[in-house]
Amino acid sequence: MAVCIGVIAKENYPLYIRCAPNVENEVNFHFTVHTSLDVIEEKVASLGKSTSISTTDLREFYLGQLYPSEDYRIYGYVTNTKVKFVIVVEAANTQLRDNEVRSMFRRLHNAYTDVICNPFHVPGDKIKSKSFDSVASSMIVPERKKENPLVI
Amino acid sequence: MANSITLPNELQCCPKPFVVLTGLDITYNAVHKTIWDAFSNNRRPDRLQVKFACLPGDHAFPRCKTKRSSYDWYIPKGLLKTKWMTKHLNEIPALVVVFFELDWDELAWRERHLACASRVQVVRTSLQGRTTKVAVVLIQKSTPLPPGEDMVAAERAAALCSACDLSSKSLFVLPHSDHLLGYIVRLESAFVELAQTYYHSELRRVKAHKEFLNKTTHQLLFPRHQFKIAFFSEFMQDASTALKHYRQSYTHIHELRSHATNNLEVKVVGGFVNYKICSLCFLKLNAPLDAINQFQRHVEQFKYQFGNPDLMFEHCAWLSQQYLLFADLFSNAIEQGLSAIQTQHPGFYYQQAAHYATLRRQHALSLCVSIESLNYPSPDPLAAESMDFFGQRPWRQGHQRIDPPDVAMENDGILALQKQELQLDHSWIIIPLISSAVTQFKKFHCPRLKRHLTIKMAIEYYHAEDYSKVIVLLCRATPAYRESRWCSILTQLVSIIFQCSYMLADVQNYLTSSFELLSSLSQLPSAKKKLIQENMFLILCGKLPKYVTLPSEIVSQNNKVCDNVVVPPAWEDLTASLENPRTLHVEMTSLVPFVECKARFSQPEFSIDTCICMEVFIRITCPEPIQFIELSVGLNNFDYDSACIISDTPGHGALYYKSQEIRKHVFEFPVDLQDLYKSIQVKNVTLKLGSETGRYILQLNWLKTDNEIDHEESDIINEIHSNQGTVDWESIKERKSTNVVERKSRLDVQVHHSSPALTNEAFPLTFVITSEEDLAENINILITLKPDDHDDSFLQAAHLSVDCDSLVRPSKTLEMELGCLKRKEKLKRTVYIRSSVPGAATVTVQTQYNVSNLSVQSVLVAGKQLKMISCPSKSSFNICFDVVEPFSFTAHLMSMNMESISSVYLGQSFLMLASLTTHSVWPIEVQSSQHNPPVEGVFSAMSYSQNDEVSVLASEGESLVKCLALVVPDSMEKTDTAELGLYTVRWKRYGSKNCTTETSLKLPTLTIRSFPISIDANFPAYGVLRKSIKVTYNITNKSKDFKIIEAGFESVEAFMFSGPKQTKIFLSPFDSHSIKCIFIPLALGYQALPKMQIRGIYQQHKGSTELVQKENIDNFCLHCLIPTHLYIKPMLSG
Repeated sequence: MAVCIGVIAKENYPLYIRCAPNVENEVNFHFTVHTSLDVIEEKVASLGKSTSISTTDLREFYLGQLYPSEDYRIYGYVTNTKVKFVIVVEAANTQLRDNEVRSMFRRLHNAYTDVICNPFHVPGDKIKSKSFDSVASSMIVPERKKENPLVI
Repeated sequence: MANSITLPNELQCCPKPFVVLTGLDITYNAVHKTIWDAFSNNRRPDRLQVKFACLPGDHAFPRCKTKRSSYDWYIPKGLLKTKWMTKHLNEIPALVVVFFELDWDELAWRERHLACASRVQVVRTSLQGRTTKVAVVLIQKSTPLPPGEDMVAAERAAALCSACDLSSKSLFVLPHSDHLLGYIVRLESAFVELAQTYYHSELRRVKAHKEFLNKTTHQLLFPRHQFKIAFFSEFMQDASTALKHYRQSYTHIHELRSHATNNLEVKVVGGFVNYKICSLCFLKLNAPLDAINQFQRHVEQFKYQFGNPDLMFEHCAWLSQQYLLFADLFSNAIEQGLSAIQTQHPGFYYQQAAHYATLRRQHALSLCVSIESLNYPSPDPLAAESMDFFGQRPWRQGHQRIDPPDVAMENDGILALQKQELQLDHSWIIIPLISSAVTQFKKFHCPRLKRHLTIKMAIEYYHAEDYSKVIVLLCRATPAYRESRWCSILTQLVSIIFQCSYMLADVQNYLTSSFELLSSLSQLPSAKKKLIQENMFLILCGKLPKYVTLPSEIVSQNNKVCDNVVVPPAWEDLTASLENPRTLHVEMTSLVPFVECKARFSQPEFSIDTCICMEVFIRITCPEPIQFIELSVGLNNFDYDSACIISDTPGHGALYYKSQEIRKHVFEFPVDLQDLYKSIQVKNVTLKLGSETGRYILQLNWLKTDNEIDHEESDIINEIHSNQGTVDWESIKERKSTNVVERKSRLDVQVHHSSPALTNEAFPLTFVITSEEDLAENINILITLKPDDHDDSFLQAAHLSVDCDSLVRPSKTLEMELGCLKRKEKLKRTVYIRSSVPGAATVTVQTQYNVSNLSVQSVLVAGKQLKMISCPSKSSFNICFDVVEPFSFTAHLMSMNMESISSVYLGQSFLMLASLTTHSVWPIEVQSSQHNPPVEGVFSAMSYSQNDEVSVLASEGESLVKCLALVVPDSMEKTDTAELGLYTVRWKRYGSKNCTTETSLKLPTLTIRSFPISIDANFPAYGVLRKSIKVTYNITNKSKDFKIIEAGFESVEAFMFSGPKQTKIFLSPFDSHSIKCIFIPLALGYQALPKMQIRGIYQQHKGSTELVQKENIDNFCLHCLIPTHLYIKPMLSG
């Protein structure tokens, strides 16, 4: 289960960021999502270089784990329209496997597509959709245990 | 505590064999000095890794402990002794070299060699019990002979060896001669070899201990011994063996039982071994991935071994240090040529080090409350003279049991550590770590991570209360977030700037950050926004602002700025009286402020006689209403500034905005004549806030650079309806520049013409100009032949003229001054265009005129009446038409017998048929056509009048044919060809009143042949049946040669014939001969005459007789005017 889910527009501004309830310093997750763009950009650029133009449409959206962090694992996903999805998972959560992360991204992508298909949604606006919200919150850790503050 | 976890220097250096040189007097003996220098100086990396020390011969080396024969009753007191590494690195040599000056041919050999032996003995004694090797180097003056040749030397060497109890391999000779360094290098490698044997034996000695150990009591010795073996391997420069044993040591450390008492010791030594493993992997074995994996396992294994919860900060400090050491190793490896990637580079480790340092501070501060009341314990439990083991507590050294020996002592010790920790300023630990990380992230293309760290650094400065640095750092970081619209982060950052500038009483930053906090992007609650806005006005009026707490997530909760902040003394300056308000400039373009502004010209261009209309939109997003005192717009021409300003005093209302209001201000001003054809641009918009009586006047300045060109014609903006007030701000497009164009022409210019035009014709273009102006002056029409893009041949062949007849001064452009024209007056002008080739013509017509006394256009602007003296108007348009050929012309040559010929004979008449065929859609009237033969050559064979009748070629395809009889005179003899001259046609359009056009057509060139004789005959026009016809054939020799001609007649049925059937005629030059015949017609009608035949012509040319070819003769006869047939009439009856 994720602790934070972020959707970032093509122009790199946030469309949607949701963190697990009870997290302290939510803005730190905003930073995490923001900084992951560095790696996403680099990965997308290298993908574009290695594959020919004809295959770019068929390329893998899932970018895998982005950069190492001791406490969290950060996964990235880029759509064809360069909308980025970022999922932050606690490093302690070792059960989560790679293909589960993939399926989470796929669900997010589908939910995002639904948002975009809404005729009342202005593309580029922040996502204010209940259905998207429910999809996202279904992937987020429901309630974080109040941990011993000594635990790092 | 800091001491117990720091990495000792001896661990960081790379162990090198330690070799001691004795017997060198480096202070007084120059030779010895050079030898020592050669050993110790300039140790480049390509030299062997050895550490040399020069010690006196009687130096006391550390005493050897008595060797333990059994470990049965030995209980180790710790993991790794503090002195062990230093001892082996710097104190116990692997080899002691005794230098002694002794030549083989020394006179006092006996005494000297005994002295040397005693020197060696002294060294041996001081090394008692050690296995340290001893070697002797004899410093000799002369170069030794090759081995085996110097018998004395061999003998004496053996004697010396036995005296000193040395093996022959440990005796060296160093000739003090030219090649000192070469000898030294060779000696060095021999020393290293000896040292290696020493370390090898030491290593085996340690290994041998293993069998005495048992797992229960000697658990601590397993890692220690493995560490020692690895360390000795390092001395031997055997990195892979060293790595193997360090790994084993590391595993043994993990097998140790960890508890509160030994926690720190295990961690510290574990960290040491980990450091060794990583450094070997990175720097020696080039296995960076192994190093990274090892480190990750290391951190994972030790991360949760907190030890005593009261010393949590210590654990964090240790973790932070582990990360820092690893990051340093990593970046060292990169300096040595390792390549790192964006997601795996030292920056991340520096960042983690900083992270743990921050946690360390947090934990330290959380202790703050509990121990504040306590005093530092005395006696100082930390005051131990020296530590025997790494990572142990000074107050209970060597204690290895689970429970502390003395609880009170333990508590005192912990308190002392805590007290020490609290005295640290952690910010200065964290900031350098972050700045190292920033450097790395910059190197590895992570701009956002770098920026994030910059912010972290700023927060550290905030904790360190260096507020001005915070502002500097954050101001550097914010633009990126502002650009990418990360409002959540931006709000947080600006909040910090806001608070810092409050602490510093930095008015400028305080106000700019207020602006941003009040903006729509800021996510502050509106109550806070209101407070901020109130404060802003307090400052403008010179009153002290109230302190506003902002919820800040990134600055940790226990920050020092609490609710009951005293107003910083710097603000006092604000209340001091000042005569005039100070003006502060704020650059708004780089902010996301609460007041936004857009400026646009209402049209992309304005004509010179109208007023420029500029609209400025202001949007206010702050929660409370706001009053500005002035709005002004700066254009690129300062002359307009006075027109683009609105001032307001409170209560007036023009610049009083409600919250969330969007208002449009319109500025109208006339254009200066000087700005014609120029572009007018908005340079900046300025709003003034404050009051003349207040403390500050804020100038909010928007720079409008015209970088994005968005001159969309279709941006019809939702007009603002003042009552509705709902305007989509985003849809307002700025138009920052406009062009000033000339007044639109109000002259009506019409052009009449009947195209297509014909080539060479003077094609009339009739201009009819009607004025809509009251009085148009200096009307000027410029007519230009417009060049074709593809082909300029047409332009070359075409001309313009006002006169059709003569086309005086034909030119490509034509300018007509037409003077003045009153309203509704008409003016007609005709211009002719003539082109000699067909094609498509484009003519540009430009009209220009001046208008004065524009009474109608006078406009009231700002109370002033506008007077325009004169202003030009201009218009231009194109006329296009085709030019086509009026007719085509062919000339056809025939013999007098009406047969087509391709060449003519001199002196023989021929016919030319000239035919004109019309192609024009217009009927053409051909007034005359005339053959103009050239001065020399062809002339008309018959003299007849050329004044022919006017003929009209009405429809396309009609032809006019004229037949001319021509002859080439004999005088043209010399040439092969002759010009036929020109054929001139005078024509015009049928019914046109214009002058006629004269077209000269070129006639083809004739091919001329000559023949030596000419024949002619005089025939009547007809014959009468049975009436004799007398015919004389004249044959003339036209050459200077004598000729014999064979001629004859072939009889025919229709004629009776008398004359020579066959004759030979002798002709002298230019002589002629007549053949007289009589024909009597026997049949009626068109009858063939007896054919006269020239059978052969012999000419005498330069003494020889030659025959003219038969074909030539036949061909010639064809051209002759000798009729072949004759019409025979019946006899007239009666």
